[in-house]
Amino acid sequence: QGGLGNSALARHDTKAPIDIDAARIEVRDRDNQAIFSGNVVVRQGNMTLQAGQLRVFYQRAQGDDLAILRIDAEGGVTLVSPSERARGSYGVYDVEDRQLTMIGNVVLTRGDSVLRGQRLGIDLETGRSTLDGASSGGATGSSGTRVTGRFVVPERRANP
Amino acid sequence: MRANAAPPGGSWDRTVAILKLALPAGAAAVLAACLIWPLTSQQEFSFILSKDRVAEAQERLRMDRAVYRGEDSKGQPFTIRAASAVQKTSDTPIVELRAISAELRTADGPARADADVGRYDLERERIDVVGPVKLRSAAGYALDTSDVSLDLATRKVTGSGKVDGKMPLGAFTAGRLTADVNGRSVVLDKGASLRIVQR
Repeated sequence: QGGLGNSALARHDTKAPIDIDAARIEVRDRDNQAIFSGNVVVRQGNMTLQAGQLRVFYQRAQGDDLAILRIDAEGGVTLVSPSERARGSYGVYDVEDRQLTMIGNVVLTRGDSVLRGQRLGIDLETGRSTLDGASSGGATGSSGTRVTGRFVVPERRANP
Repeated sequence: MRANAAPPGGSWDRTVAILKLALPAGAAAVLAACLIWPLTSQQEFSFILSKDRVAEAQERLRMDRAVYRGEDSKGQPFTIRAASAVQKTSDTPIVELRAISAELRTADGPARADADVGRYDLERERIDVVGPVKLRSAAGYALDTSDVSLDLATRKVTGSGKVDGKMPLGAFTAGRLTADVNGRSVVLDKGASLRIVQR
């Protein structure tokens, strides 16, 4: 389990307004779903998610309330936050449980260090991030590929 | 006892005798009056309709509180009510409507569209709304937008050029809108953006 530093997305307000741009938006009120396609850009607070296609699951219990349950992103997903940039094949933003997960050839860039793995999880409450090698998200090392990483240690400035 | 009720030669016999003469005479008099009376009237009532002095209406047809009824392709009925309906010329089946409310039956109950101004194409059963329109359905489907056309036959709302508006999921702008009231779906394309505010 490649434990990393915390993401700046800690205490991310998952109830904040979500702005989504896309070439095409299809809202299926009957299934409580909305499908976005064509260079989709999602912005919420200081988090930006880009993807080829996006599917938003929402809930309208009664009256005028609205809750977004989950956002599935696919077709090349990029997450940008003040502290990192992550790319992967799929992304799942579980709005209700405040969990962000990226799956499939994940490349996480933080500062100068670049980490690769199969599955990146960011807890939007604590900001705790984990990068797993195993594509199924199980214990690392056993069957999955290894997590590889290149750490860059900032040079020590020669003191005058 | 019955005898003294009407003794012979008493007052009752005299009244009957008088009536026997008076009534037929009265009837004859009335009949004569009916026949002669119309012939005696003198004053002549006639007028000349002059074409140029008559007040000419600009429109071909003007109706207040107009109601149009029809059916969509699946036979579901719709009703369009308008405070006023004006058809300019007879060669184009377009009626200018004011204060419009259209009611249509959908798979999940009635839906209703309200708009201030619109042009109703009688043949194509389509309202081209000018300005804002509010669409609500019993199943909670809602769409507020403007300058779109509502096709009553196919239950589709279409709008192009810059279209904006709001629905339960959020406020939107798009290059084109196609909403299917029956299927309760909205497609925004040619570049679209949606602002979702959870509440």
